[in-house]
Amino acid sequence: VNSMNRIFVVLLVGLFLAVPARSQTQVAPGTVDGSKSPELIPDNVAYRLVFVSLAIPPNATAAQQRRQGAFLARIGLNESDSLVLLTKLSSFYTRYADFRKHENDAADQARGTGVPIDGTWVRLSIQRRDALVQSVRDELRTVLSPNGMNLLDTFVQKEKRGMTIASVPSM
Amino acid sequence: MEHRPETPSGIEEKEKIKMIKFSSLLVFLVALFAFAPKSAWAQCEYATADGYYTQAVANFTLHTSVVVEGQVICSYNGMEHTYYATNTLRNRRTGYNVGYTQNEGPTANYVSLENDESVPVQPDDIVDFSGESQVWCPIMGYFFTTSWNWPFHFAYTRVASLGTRSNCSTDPHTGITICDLNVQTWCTIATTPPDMNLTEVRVMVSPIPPSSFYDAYGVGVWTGSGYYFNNLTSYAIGLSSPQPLANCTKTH
Repeated sequence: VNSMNRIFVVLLVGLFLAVPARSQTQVAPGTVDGSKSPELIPDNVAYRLVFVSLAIPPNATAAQQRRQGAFLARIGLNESDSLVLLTKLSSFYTRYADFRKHENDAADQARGTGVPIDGTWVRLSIQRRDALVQSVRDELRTVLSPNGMNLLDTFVQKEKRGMTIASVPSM
Repeated sequence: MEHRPETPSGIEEKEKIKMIKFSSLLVFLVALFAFAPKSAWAQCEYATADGYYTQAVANFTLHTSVVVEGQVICSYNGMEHTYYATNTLRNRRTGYNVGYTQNEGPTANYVSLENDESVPVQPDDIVDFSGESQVWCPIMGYFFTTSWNWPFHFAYTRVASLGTRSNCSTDPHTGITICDLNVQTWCTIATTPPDMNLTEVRVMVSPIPPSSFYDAYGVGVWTGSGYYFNNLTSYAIGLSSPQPLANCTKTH
């Protein structure tokens, strides 16, 4: 009976250590809730989310175009700036789709060749993504009127209220 | 030491104790499994995820979008595991069931999901959308979860021009000039002040001259402390003169 008790204790401790954490709806450390702290949402992240939401494919449906038009109206750009932004958003859509494909292909390739997909790998991927978003912002700064750029930036800052961002502490 | 054979009742007693110990341990283990400390986050080593919820209104249509995206790699002790990313948008208003869910995983690492919904609205309509985005690793639990539940209120206010303009901007290519036009609300006493208590509307003043009256429409979001209008005037429609006082929307 005593040896059985010891086995149970060992099993118990082993089980406690081995049981993976159970899923539960909770907020990860490092999560920023834009409705509470919009100032903690980085501009580059906010611009990316707005671009992703606003950009539509080149062969967009009429409904997609109407939806995009409603959001562009909120920014309040004049006609020229609206056209410039539309062109840039269209370009962003294609470039971002290419980026995603590239990253996913690279991950598959890394798995196939045994290259570790670790923190460094992910950080480089995130850097490529952020550079792409930054380049679109830089391009917009040169082609939009100063007033248009201000209006776009005001819109993006306001939109931070609807954003939540998270990255694990090790990132 | 003298060996004494156990009596049948003695053996039964020992078996009973064993059984009780077994049962107690089983209950304890089940309880332990159910209530073990949750430490999911530390195990999901390489992931980022961002969520975004937004809305706009135009031509009596409310558009809502929920986006979740990021680089998601669920890793546990150096081994990758399947992940699931879900993005849900529901219209909770009775009669609408237009929400849907997107899922992605496990082969694509870069998640980018977007749900868009558009519904017709009339002044004073409240459209109760809820959105939810999650990234979940089966072994490690939720890495990212966020949800929104903001009822949208479609507000309407009639305004009368006071004549003065500011912040004018002329498009060099089209020659169209847009200004902030100072206005006062033009609502019945019962609906004054209206939800959308405007002092200006942004409208074209040239080449088409401004109107003396406008019907303005906007979206308010219930935040728990009152409606706020995050895009003061979504659009304003010019009216002929004169105009009677209107029943503007007034909910508080």
